Amino acid sequence: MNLRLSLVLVSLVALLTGCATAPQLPVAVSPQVLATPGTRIGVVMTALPKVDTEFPGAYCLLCMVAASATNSTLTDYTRTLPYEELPQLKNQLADVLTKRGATVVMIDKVDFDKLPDYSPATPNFARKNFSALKAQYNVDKLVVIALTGVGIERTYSAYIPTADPKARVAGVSYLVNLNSNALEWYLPLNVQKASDGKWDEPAKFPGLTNAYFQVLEMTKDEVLKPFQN
Amino acid sequence: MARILCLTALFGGALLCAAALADEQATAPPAPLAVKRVALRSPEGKQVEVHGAINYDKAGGGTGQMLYPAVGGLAGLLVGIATHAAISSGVQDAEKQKMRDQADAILLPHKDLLAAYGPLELSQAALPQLTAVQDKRLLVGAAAADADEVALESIPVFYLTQDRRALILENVIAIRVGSNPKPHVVTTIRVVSAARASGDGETWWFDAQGRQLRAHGARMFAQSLDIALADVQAAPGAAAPFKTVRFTEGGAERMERAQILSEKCGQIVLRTLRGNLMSVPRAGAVPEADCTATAQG
Repeated sequence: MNLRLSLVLVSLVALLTGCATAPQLPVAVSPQVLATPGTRIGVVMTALPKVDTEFPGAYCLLCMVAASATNSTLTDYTRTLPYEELPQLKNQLADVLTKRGATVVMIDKVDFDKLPDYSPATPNFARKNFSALKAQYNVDKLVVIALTGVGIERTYSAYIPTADPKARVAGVSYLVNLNSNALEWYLPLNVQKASDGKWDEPAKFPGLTNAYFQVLEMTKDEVLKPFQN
Repeated sequence: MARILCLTALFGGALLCAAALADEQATAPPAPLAVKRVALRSPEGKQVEVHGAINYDKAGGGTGQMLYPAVGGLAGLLVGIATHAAISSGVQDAEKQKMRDQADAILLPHKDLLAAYGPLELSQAALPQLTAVQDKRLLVGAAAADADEVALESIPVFYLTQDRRALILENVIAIRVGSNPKPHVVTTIRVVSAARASGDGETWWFDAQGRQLRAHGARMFAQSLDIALADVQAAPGAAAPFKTVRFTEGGAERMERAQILSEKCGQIVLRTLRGNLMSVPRAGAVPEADCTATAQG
């Protein structure tokens, strides 16, 4: 009985943990990244997500409907907000890298889904194998800016909001050494800003609009500052 | 209704008043006003309201799931949701109150000093520093303004940044012509002081019976009134574009989406998206030589 129970437990642990991948922790930019003048660095930014509202925590179907209906005015307004300078972020990063002595190659688009997985999965190494890009773009390293969420977020627990809405930009930015596939910089982005004062001010939501433009600037700072120092 | 509420409010209701009055103001843009004489009414209350500055960016955010009891059909579900909403609202309110209490903790050692800092002292010290007009006087209690005077009524609330390097004033100001019961304009002015040196020490504002707090408080109060008077007298011009402006608030950098109205002595005057005004120290600004004398604390 004990043996059977142990086998079941071992199988269960293997099943549950075998699929889990440890999240990649942040990696600071090392001084060696730009140590060699003329290092060829490719810069690519994925397509920006639509500016929109998100309601994490409202996961059941009815909860999603309720959250969407409750915040419809805010959602309609959020969708009118511009990206402002956000699309120029990769050009701004290229300028910073150039000033630090790198030779920058701007890359329009990389289909990351078509890259093979890097095996075995190792902490501080990219999950995809980027090595093919070295010859394709004639670069030694690649910086990727991948934003996955831009807009306003309001957290929920089922039908009930658990916080006031906040402006948010989410995503990740990283630098891969194409010779080794090592991550020489990895920065998860979760930039949030609450409204200063009350938030529920339709139709222009000035408090949240102010917060929204602030998170755009803060995101720019988070991506650029590691290379400016 | 908002005006009545504001006039009768205690200092603790300042933000509610600001919001209510701002809504009222939004419906009617005021015409420029000629100001020759000013009567500054001393704010109500026994002591000047001072708090620790607070930031709600980390408030809330949990997404824990709730299993509603499967009893009572649809009615049971609705009762379950209503109960959940009440609990969640209570938790959020309690969290914000806790954050306010934590922010105010930096002032606890100076409780007695702050209790002795009254609004009349603030007004008396600020009046001579009001530069927008020379003909000015103080109104105390129920005294009424003359018909040709512009009366300034205000609800000032000060905040000390958590690093204790800057003082912030949020002043809700009603400007009346004579004893007209309807304000010509109601506006909120936020003034952020230049950051003190990080080595000034934690009690710098409160040393010598709060000498720096009193001096800066009076200067910032006068500055907020000057800004309000300048704005109410200004003829409407071409609107400046809104941009994200960076400024310092103590040792931290802050931003505001605003129009830049003017800049002097390292302080920028902004109009925010809400239509309120701010005077903030530009990040990295070095005051010009002729500003140094007035900036000494």
